Amino acid sequence: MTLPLEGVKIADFSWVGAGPRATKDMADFGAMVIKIESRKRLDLGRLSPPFAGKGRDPDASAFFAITNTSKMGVTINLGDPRGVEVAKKLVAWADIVVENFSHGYMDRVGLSFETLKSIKPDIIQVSVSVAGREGPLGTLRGYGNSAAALSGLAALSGWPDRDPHMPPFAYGDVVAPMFATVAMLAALEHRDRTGEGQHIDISQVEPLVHVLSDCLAREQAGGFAKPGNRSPSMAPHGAFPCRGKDQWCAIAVADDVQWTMLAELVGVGGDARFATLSGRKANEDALESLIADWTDGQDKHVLADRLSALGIAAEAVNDGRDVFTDPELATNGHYHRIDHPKLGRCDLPGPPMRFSAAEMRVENPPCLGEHNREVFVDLLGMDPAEVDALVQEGALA
Amino acid sequence: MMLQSLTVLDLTSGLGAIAGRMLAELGATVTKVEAGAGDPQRADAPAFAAWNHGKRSSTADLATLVPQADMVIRNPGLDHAALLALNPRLIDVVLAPFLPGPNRNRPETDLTLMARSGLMAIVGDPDRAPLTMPGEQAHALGGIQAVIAALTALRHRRATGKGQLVEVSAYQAAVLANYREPLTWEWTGRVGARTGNLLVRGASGVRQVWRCKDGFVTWALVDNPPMMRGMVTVMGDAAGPLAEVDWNAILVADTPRPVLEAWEARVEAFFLERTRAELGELSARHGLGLSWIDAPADVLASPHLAARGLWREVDGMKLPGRLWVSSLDAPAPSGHVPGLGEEDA
Repeated sequence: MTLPLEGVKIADFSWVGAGPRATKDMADFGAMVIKIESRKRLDLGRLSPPFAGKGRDPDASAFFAITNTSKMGVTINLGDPRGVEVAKKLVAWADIVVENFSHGYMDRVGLSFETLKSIKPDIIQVSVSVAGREGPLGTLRGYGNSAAALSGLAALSGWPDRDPHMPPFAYGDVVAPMFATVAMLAALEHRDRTGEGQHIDISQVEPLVHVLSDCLAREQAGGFAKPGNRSPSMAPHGAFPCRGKDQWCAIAVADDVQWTMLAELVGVGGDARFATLSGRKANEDALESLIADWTDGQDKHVLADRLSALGIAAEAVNDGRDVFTDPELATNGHYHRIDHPKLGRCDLPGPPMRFSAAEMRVENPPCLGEHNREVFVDLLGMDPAEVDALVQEGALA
Repeated sequence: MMLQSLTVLDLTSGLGAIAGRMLAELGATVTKVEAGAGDPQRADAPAFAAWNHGKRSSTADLATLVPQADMVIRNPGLDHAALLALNPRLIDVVLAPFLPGPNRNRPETDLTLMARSGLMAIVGDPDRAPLTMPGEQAHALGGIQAVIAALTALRHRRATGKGQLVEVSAYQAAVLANYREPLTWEWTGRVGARTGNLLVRGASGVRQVWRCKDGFVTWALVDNPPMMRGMVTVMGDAAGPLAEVDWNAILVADTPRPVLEAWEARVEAFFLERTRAELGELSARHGLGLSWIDAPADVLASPHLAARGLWREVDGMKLPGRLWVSSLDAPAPSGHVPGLGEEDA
C-alpha cells in the first residue's frame, strides 16, 4: 500500500491554524511538507496551550502538534534577504506554496506570486486570509471573531430571543483550511492536465458562507429567523436535561412513527396535540417541557442508546472527555499514537476517512528547525559550512 | 475550469450534497442520479437549491452511468464490488455518519452528530441547554471531507491507474472541528463549559458581542496594549476610568469581573451612539480589533463579497458560487437547479 499523495511537494509558510490545518491533511496523505518557521517570529501555534510538561516549550504545545503532524520543519528568517534567497530554493523545489501572512507581507519580503512564477512557472500558491486578498476588505486585519461576524455565522448563532452568539472556537479556522486542501488538490489536477499553475486566494469568510448556504436560501425564500435547536421538519428536536450537572441528551424525532414510540415511553401517547408534526410544532414549548420532565434524572448515554435502539436519533451531549474516550473513535482509528521527544507518547487525530487501496500516516510534528540540515544540505544541496554560518548569523533562524 | 474533465455521479441525499456542489463549482460534470420521485430533499426547495445548483439530474440506470464515470459520491447502501465490476477505475466515495463498525446502523441527524462531537456542549449560554450551530454543520463538514477524499483518491489513481473505495465519517469530521475540547481533556483533565458571549482566557472573562446604533459589533477588552490604548484614544472623554488604566501593567484576562463590567459599561455607551459602519471605520483607522456583525441580509448585500464574485443567481436567489478567487480566469458554471431527470431527454 502506498500513500496517495506521495511525490507532492509543499513549501509551507503558513502559521497558527488557517494554513497549517490544510498542509497537515496533505502531509498525512503523504505529501512532503516542509514547514518554514522562524525563531524571530514564532508560529503562535507553538505558544498555544495545552503544553506537555511545565512551562511553555515551543516544541511541547499539543495544539501545535495536532495541527502540524507528518511535516518537516526548517527555520528561515524572511526578514533577512539571505533567508529569502534560501526560501526561493524551496519554491523552486515545490509544487505548492502555502501562506497566510497578513496582506502584502509576501510582496514586501520579495516573494510575490510574480516572483514565485519567475522561479517556477507552474507553481501553485494558496493564500488564506480573513476576508481574502482581493476586494474592498482585502487589507482587513484578522481577529478571532472576524470570520464569524462577517459571514452571518454569529448572527445566526444563539437563542432566538437573545443577541448574536460567538461560537467559542474559530470555525473559520476550521472550514477555510478544508477549502485550502480542496484547492491544492484541484490545482494539482489542473496543472497536470494543462501545465498551468495559479494563485488561489481563500477567504475565511466565504467558506463559512458556503456552509450556511441553506440558511441564506431560506432567508431569501421568505425570511429566516435563527432557530436555536429547533428544526422546521422535525419535532421534538433539541437537547434535554439528564442526570448530573450540565448533562444533556440530544433527541431528534424524524416522523410520526418515531413520535408514537417516544410518546409511549414519555407517557403522553394519548395527547392528540402532538400526533402530527404540525401539532408538535404548534405546541413545541409544551412538548419540550414534557420530554424534559421525563429525561431529567436519566443517564445521558443510557438514554441515547435506548432511543437509538428504537431507531430514534439520540446522542449524549458529549464533553471533551466523552469525545476523547468514545469507543467509536478507538474502533475506527481516529487517533494515532506517536512518540515525540517533547510530547512523549500521545494520541493525535488523523483524517476522518479510510482508503481501500492507500494508507495514511500521522507522524511527529517537527520541533523548531528539526530538519534544517536534512533540507538545506541534503535536499537543496547547500554547503554545510554556509548553512552553519547562515544559522549563526540569524538568516536561517 | 480546474476539474473540467471529471465526471461525477452524486447519489447523496442531504448528507454529502455539498460535495457534488463543490465539485460542480470546480468544473466537474456532476450528475445527481435519482430514482422514483427523486431526492427526498426536493421537498425542501430552498435547501435543495442551495446544495444542488450547478448539478445535472438523471434517472438512468447505474449500469449505464457508472462505466462512464470517474467517481461516485454516495451514502451507504450499494455494493462496492458491484460498482467496481462496472468500472475498475471508479473512485467510490461513501459518506456516512460513522465508518463501518458497531455504530454503522445507528440513526443520526445533524443535531445528534453535533451533540456527540462535543461541539454542542460549548456552544450557547450557561443558563440554558447546549446549542447546535446554524444550518447543518456536521453534514457540511463530512461533505467537504468527502471532496478531499475524492480528490486525494483521484491523485492516487494517476499513479496506480486504479480506483478504490474511500469511506468518510461525518462524526469524525465534526470531532476534528472540535479541535480544543478533546485535546484539553487529554492533556489537562479539564472539560470546557458554555460561557455564552464571554471570552474566557484567564481567571476572568470579557464581553465579545455589543449592541450598537444599528445592530451589533464584536470587540473585547484583551491583553493587547496598543489595541486598548487605541480604543481609549478613540473614546476620548467617554473613556472615563479606562483612560487611567496602564495596559502594560495589568492582565485583562485576570482582572475581576466587576472591574471589567464597569469598564465595559463605558464601552457599551460609546458603541450605542455609533453605527456598525462608523465603528468599523474607526477600527480600521486605529487598529481596534473590532468587526461589525453581519446579519444574513447584510451578508447578501456585502459589497466585498459581491466584488469577489461569490454569488451566483439561481432561480431568483443569490447563492454562494465561487469557492475562492483564482489568478486563472474561470468562466462561472451554470447557476441552474436541475429538474428531476432532465438529462434523460
